[in-house]
Amino acid sequence: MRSVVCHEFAPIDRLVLEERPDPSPDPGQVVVAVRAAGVNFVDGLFVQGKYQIKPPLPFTPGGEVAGDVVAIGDGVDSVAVGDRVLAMPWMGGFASHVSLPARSVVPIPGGLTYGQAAGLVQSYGTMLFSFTKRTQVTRGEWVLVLGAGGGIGLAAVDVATHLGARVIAAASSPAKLAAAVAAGAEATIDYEREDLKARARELSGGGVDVVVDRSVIASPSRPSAPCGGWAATW
Amino acid sequence: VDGRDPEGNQALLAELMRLAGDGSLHPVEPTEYGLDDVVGALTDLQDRKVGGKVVLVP
Repeated sequence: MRSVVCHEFAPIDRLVLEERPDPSPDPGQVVVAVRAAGVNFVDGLFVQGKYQIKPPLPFTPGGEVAGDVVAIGDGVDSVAVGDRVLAMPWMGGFASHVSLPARSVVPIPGGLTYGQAAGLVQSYGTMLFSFTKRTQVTRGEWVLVLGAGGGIGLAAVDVATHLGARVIAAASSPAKLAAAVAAGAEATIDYEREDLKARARELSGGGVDVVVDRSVIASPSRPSAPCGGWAATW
Repeated sequence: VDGRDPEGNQALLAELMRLAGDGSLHPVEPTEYGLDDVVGALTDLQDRKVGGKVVLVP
């Protein structure tokens, strides 16, 4: 197998690709041949030692993998060789193969590519978690998404729309706002040209219920919500 | 979304796959890099040269 290895906390270009023996699955584990590994900004922080959690060295980064099960360990009956699966291994994903607990993988539906499945985890996973576990977005509520044209922002618009919310997208250019409208936003605010607060109040008829910022969700209408009305998204 | 709640994480992944599979959610195709171009992928992300999602394809 091939594996990206971080031997020291150093600039990104010190990462190396190494050849290692293929893993064989321990009892209860499956080996997945990786077809797509999600790459996130935080992975770059990990390898440079700039994140608050520092993995023991050496390590292979990569927390999101989609691929095919190629071997199963003793006692595994929930997964079979050939299954297309998604998992969130925390580390070890930047490799051709990864060994994982069988209970940690979920099947990938037929219509979804490996890339789409792996790419869903951080953006959509974060927003689904935030909208359903950290605060409760319900049908008809107004959700204001700041930075709505980016990856997380578009996922927020898509998930909030799915939950039945009415979404106001705020972004810095007409192109980003058009992407947010395509993802389901009902109204837009170009905060390069418009007053964010005044327009949000006007569009929602008095004030929005939930605000999605880059790192927190605020629920102005629910100051007694878990986390005191603010919900960290990661 | 982290390593502290494996059961919760797996349930969340399963729900994501269900919603994406039945068309309730609309994920975009990511930008692909080879496994041997991990430095390029991480550098482009850091420098904001690539938008949306990025994946490595071994």
